[in-house]
Amino acid sequence: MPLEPNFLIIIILVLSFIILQLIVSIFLLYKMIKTKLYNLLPLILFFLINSLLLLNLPYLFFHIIAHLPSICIIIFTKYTFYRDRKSAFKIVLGIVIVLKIADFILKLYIPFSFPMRIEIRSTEIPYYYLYLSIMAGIILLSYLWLGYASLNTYKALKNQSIEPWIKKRYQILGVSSVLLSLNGVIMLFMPWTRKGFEDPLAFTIGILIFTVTIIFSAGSVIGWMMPQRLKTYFNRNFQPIPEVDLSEKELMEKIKKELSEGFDHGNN
Amino acid sequence: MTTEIIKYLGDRLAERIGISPPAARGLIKLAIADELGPLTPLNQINFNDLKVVIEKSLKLRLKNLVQNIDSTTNYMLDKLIKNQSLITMAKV
Repeated sequence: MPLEPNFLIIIILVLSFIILQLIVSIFLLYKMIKTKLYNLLPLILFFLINSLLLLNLPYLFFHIIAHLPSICIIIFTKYTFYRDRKSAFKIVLGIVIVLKIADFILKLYIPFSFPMRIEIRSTEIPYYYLYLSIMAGIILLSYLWLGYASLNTYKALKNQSIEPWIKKRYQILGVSSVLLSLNGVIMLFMPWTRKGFEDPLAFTIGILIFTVTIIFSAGSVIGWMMPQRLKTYFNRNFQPIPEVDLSEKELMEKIKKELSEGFDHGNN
Repeated sequence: MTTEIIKYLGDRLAERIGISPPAARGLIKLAIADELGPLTPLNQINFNDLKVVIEKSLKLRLKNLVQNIDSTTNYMLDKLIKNQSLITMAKV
């Protein structure tokens, strides 16, 4: 059966998205093994499960793993930015789990999908918007929290003597996460028509969502897999503080001398 | 190779106790060697390792140098905890 043109465009966008996400997840898996940074595991799972969700999975299995990527992002944010530190982790995770359960129960009664492929009765329309709001809530909470954590740390570090490519990584990841959270708002406009992406409004919403998602994926590729050339470009005006190569005795003498004479940091 | 988090913590320690950044970074590297052994690669050190280094060996090293040791180590712990993501962001 020939594919409808709208559906074909969506398929191309979805495939681009899957490929980008798989590339990042394989790269991060390699880095996790090499650096023993196990806080990367939820992020790797996020990219893998996200790709998996776009395949034609059995309905029940799909809805069991739906929204797990958002939970992975919340865990990654906690273990990368907020270990041993007061944070909104328990509240954000608690709300997302409750929303995920509500979403699962709702879909046991009415098989909602995005976009809709079945006709719903007028009495079921409020439940359709409840379904959209649940999805929107999960997306907004998880990606905005990562975006906030990343951009907030960038703000704290931007005037410090840190290699600029690292600061750029915070910015790219923060901005792309905030951008992805916009999907939570865009999806609220998805109509309940059963025509799927052949409905003009549903198609426009679909294009917007996949475009935002591809920008996020491209941001993830550039942010996490930044090529050396790009790092060198970002560092072009950076003057690192030179290291000193002293023995322990010489270093301790230097410190004592600086403490007694006072060292000027140029702040006054 | 000095990692970004050690450079960052060294710079904060330097400002806090009034020594040069290279000297402060050197002091942190000595504290790491005391706690984790001299052969530990600096780029393999994680968040928990650095916490222990600040709480134990850096504190001991500072004893002979400054008076307000507890507030200095608490300050350093606070800087590590607030900027822990630098370990991941700089290592990947």
